[in-house]
Amino acid sequence: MDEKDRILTDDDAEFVSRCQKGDIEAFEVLVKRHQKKMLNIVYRITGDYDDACEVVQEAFLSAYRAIKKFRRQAKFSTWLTGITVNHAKNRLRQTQSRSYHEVVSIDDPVETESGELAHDPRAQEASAIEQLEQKEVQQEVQECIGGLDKDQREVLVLRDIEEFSYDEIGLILKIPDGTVKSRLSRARDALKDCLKMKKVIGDL
Amino acid sequence: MIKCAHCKEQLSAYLDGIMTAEEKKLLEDHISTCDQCNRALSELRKTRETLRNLEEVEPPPWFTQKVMNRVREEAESRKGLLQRLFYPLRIKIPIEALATCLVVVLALFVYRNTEPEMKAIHEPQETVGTFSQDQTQKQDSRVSSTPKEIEGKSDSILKEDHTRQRNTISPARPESAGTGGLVENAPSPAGIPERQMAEKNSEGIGNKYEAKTSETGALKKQEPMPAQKSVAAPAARLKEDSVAPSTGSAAFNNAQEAMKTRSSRTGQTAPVAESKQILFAVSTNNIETTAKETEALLNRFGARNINRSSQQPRLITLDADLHGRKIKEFLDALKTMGDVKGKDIPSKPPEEYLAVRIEITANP
Repeated sequence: MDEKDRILTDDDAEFVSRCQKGDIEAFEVLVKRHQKKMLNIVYRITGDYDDACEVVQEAFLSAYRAIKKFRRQAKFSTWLTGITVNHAKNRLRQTQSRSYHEVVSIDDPVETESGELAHDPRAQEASAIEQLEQKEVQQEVQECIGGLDKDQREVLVLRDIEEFSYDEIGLILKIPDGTVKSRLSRARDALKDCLKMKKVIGDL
Repeated sequence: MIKCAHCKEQLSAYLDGIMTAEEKKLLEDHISTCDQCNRALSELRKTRETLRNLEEVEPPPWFTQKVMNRVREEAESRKGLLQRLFYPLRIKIPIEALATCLVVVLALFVYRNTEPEMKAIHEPQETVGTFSQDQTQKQDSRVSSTPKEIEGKSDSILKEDHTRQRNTISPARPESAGTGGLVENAPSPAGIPERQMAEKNSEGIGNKYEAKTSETGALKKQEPMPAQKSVAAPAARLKEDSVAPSTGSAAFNNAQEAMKTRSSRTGQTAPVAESKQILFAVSTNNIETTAKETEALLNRFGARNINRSSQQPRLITLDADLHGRKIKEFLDALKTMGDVKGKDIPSKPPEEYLAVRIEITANP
């Protein structure tokens, strides 16, 4: 995986430097390359698909504005994820202050997501019942993620869903490794308890 | 052996395999003997599994385009500052050029239309200007000896400034003030100039003819003899009065002389070609009054080189240069005084001064 990341970094680096010289087409390549991952991170953090789309747009715009200041001390993807997570956090702050009913804001995206799932070949293969079950599970998991506090959510999403390394998470969130470790431990425990309660896991 | 609480803290790290071999060994030993921790580990594994199995969401099909549109907008607006200054020049320059032309044409038009009027206003003032300069020089040569007198003079100059401010249109002001100054130099009572000034101020602002009449007064005072100077003050006042239609003709003759002198001295107003002379014949009961009124009228309409002659007892002739634009107004005003017959009155008078002759004859 490290090897793969390094190659990817080199790929990005070329476009990043072209971007820094004002090549907009190069930025488009970077957008295409990273948009899905960024969207999923934000979607899992905010729990709202439309919100996530907006946030990722904003994040890419911010990245474009700041790309000349990007000194490549980290990989582009790490840098971009940092910007994106920040935007997601800000959005979360806004929506939370707007409404106390987080459950409502979580309900909507799952339905949106199901629309997206229809395009997924695997989902099409699954039987109707399986689809329904899967949908329910997805919804429950998302609700549990939404129930975590913000700091735990970020770490959990980055580590267990997007599979960033501890080092990368430390860079993205600008926190030391020990903090990543302890936060992640607490996040996993909390999520485990939540899933057990919802009977998503437990029948072992 | 480690305790369960410590074990549970380590499970997450164990799952990710970020432990030293020793830590790992200790933990595995504990788990193998502790059901609770073993179950916790399985649950954590299952949790992670669940998270990893979460369906990924796909970005909407328009997503890249939407992002890039916004990025391009951003890039445009950033470049825009520099580009906007230069890029639209091909549109801007013609528009600006056109606007400039328009302004120039407009300015010329306005200037051409107002110029003659400005001349009409400024002309008498200029002549007056040369005059008062002469006068002041003479005054200086005479006055410089006594400081008291200088004080008096500066006082009057102050007043002069004051009156100028109050009435900038009237060219009479500097002249009248000059008179005041002169009279004060003479050993006549000090109250006179002030009264004079007051009179002048009350005489109505903007009366152009005032300029000429007061010039006359000034002319008189140019004679260096002190005896005459003291007489000059009342004389000047007489001239001023002569503007009113009721005053005697003697004053007028003086005024005429003054006018001639002025014309010859300054040589500013060139006589207008005789060929264009316009003749008005006025028949009236009292030629003297009518003549004065007509003269006043000429002054009011900014006529120059007004010349009066009376070769026959029942005929007074007034020659003057009147601006073409004023001809019609003048004629209308003239008609209020008596029976007027015009000759060679152009229907469209040119924009210049025309020679005008008014013949005032007594009714039979």
